[in-house]
Amino acid sequence: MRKIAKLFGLTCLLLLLQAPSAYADHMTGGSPDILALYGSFALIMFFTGLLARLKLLPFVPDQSARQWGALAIALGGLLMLIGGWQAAKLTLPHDVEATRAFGRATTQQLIGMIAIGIGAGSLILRLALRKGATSFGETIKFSIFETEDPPDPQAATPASPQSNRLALIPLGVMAVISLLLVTGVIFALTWG
Amino acid sequence: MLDKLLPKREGSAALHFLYSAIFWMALGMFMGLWAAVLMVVPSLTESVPVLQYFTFGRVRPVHTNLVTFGWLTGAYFATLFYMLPRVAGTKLYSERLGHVIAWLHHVAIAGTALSLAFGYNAGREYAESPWPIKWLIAIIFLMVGYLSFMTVQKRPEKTELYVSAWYFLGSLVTTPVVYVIGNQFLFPNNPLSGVNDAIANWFYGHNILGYWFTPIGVGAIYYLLPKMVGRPIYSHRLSMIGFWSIMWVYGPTGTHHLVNGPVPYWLQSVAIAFSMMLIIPVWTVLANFYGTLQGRWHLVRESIPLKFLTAAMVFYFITCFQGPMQSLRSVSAITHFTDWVVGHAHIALLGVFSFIMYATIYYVLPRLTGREMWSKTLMEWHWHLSFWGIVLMFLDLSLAGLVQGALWAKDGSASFIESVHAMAPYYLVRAISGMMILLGQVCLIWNMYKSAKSGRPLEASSDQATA
Repeated sequence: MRKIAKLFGLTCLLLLLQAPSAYADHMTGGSPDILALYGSFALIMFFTGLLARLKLLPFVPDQSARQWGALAIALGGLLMLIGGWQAAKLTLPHDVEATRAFGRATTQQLIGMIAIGIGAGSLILRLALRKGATSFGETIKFSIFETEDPPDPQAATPASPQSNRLALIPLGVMAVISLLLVTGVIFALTWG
Repeated sequence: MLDKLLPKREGSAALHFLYSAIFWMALGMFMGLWAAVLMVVPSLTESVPVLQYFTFGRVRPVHTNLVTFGWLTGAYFATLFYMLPRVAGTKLYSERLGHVIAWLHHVAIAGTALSLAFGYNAGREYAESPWPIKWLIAIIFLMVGYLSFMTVQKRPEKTELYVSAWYFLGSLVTTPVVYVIGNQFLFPNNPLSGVNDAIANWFYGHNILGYWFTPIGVGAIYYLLPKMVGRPIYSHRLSMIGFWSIMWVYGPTGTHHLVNGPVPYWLQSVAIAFSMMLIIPVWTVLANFYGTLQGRWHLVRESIPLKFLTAAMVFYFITCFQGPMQSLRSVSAITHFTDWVVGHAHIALLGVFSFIMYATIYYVLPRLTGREMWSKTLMEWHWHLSFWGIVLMFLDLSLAGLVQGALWAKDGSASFIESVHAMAPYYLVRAISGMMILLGQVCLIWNMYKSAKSGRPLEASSDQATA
């Protein structure tokens, strides 16, 4: 856990230190995706924090889950703040002047939206927690066989561990198509 | 007379929706094919006067509305009416109300198709229908919500709910809100204008996918998979994480349709960030799918419905890999407004959600009619034509989009006409793939018709299943 935290901290530090050359330069004139990058990390931190507070993360001990969750959420908020300020340092597209005031406005809007989102989300989660909706055990999954609807006849055939190699076919298709899409985009960006 | 129009027989409302849904599917896909043919032979509508109602501009929204609201939504209502009572351990609260909803649905869809063909178009993507029909559709969603919640409320044992019910009910809470916001708040005249209107339009355009088509489809998978492989889902807890994360993440993603446009910069960034997070709910579903099928993959070789479900999972991954990728500013600069996006929409709505519904039909129909599917060969043909059709269409449109994007970017759109000429072979392949897909559906429809008329009684296979 500490190693992961250190690795994450180092990544954040590198992101903070990166030079303006980190622009996603493209046909529209070069707009930086830097704020989205911060936003992505921050939101993943929020989500991880929520899962930790719900004790749904397998690698976090139950005793310290709530503290780790709070820490992750706080780090997410901090990242979002830093992202707003960092974005203000970089050139923005369509001749928008990248001033400190613009950075503050961007950050405030982001924080406002996240605050509303977290507020509403927390309320729903609190209600769900009080009702026990998020702490279901695994027994409920067997209820699907207690309905009046019988399983398919083929479901009665015995398991065959050897057949697992068939799973490689859909996995392979996913990998090949993903690779084709990425290669196509890179080729089009370069060609264009 | 009343009993014929609104019968009370158990399962009849679900059956009503299944049959009507495939009617709208056939009509909607034919319109799609017609639109694809017009891209190859644009002068086709000039020779016959009546074809003025079937020009590309009119046919295209008819196609999208029929396949989304006629076919998929109708099939989803059937899915809800069949699966929700079973996971709740009760009967549908009112079969008669289910039929009333079905008749209203026919009026709404026929009204949408006719008004669009006559040129009455609200001019907003996936929200083209006239405002009285928007009211009707909103009311239909509320009625389905009422029927579903009452079914769950009246269940005899107030136990925890299986994951499918969470997805179904969550979707029924969010969809009416999304629909009303995206359809000019049901006002005759749009209260929003300019950029605000575009943002609201795409809040709706993307979230009708995220809060309606996705959760019902995923809920159906969690119901069908254990029934087909005889094993409970791998992890119920993981599936619940998927449910809560999809509800949390999808909301702000819509603006990724407007990146590099004149919308606030921060909103674009939030949309891109939330789009990236979509990988979380997708992975929960995929992990559960693979975990559940462990040691059961040989069944996929034998079962057409399982083939459809497995293909849907592959396409679900591709959709949710491609979607976040194209939301990035640099990728969007190349792919936006091109046929790449059309390919993306088709793989999501046809490759994923329609495929799940085909598996649902093959599972549910014999149980509702008491008759087995008439022909295994027709099922095979349906699978092959649909699968290879959508693969061909998706690859063709993705490639076409990249060629268009690269040509437009080459010298500030000066190569636009060059890009139009370059599309000729791609549009021909699109029409061919569309024909393959439509032929596949003809196999399904004929098989459904013959099954209802002369399919073998189901008793034998049911006994075998429960033995």
